Amino acid sequence: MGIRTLDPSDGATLDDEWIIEDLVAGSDVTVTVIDGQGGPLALPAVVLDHGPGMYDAEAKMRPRKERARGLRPAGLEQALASCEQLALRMHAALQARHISRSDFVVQGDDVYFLEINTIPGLSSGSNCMECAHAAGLSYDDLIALVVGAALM
Amino acid sequence: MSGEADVIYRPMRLDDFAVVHKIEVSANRIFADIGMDAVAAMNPMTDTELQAAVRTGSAWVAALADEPCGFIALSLEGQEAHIEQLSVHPQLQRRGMGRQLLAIAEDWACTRGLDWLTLTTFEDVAWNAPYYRALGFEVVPAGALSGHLLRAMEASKDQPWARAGRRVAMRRRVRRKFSRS
Repeated sequence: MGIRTLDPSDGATLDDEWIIEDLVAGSDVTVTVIDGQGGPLALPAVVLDHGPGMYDAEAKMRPRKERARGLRPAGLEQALASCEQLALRMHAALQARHISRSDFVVQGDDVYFLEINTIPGLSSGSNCMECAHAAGLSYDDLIALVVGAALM
Repeated sequence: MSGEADVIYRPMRLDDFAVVHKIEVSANRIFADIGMDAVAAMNPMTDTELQAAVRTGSAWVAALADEPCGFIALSLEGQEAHIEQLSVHPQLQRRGMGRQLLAIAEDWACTRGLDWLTLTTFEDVAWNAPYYRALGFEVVPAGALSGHLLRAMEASKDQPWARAGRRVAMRRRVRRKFSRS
């Protein structure tokens, strides 16, 4: 099991069995959606600045100081807004409850939906917390939102 | 949650617009009772204005059997959530729906990291500035106006309906947590 990028020009060959997909290179974006009193609400979409290389399981498990930070770079406002609206639609379409986190890749003006996580990590170093941080919310605030959503 | 038990609160949909228009028109007619006929005859928000709020996820309705009976529509102005309109059908007012719609608006502003809820309204109409003051809004002094509030106040000077009474701008700081009533 593993994942690697393959450049056809480098003459590499593949042994065993592989699933090959086009690489969508772009900004990794995540959006946290939390149920509110009037329906689901999206925390600000953030670009995960995880340094060079793929944002894979290894990158996610790095020590906290080396983990991805959530940014909202200038010039991506429209794409981030699109991600937020799409995350809200996915949350509603799948009838997710309380909290979900949807992941996207933004490539130029194109937004690629990757997946929705309906049991996202909620540690203080989680990507949900990166979204909360972008809204000026503390970790306690984030947890209060989730508990509040569950109690509605 | 405050308000009547059968009332649900949900995001506004495009197919709500016809009913939402009627709510706003009906709510405006109350102004005729206090001699503010120009306000009573005001046009409701346009479809384009409502669409802008729906597309940014900043419009909600209070609904009975899924039919809207009140609504709130916001616009994003820098770090402020501006309340473009808050209306409840006259026959269903004084039941906490306006307060609840404001709480939902504050939740949205909180999740967007915004600092203020703002609005413009009539200072001396009981269900305008005094209502908002009771909910924690404060008047922004004329000399302290800036940005969209200043523009809104300036723009209203040219409107016949706005000359029916004294207009004021108000704001309330967004609490950094969900409101739970």
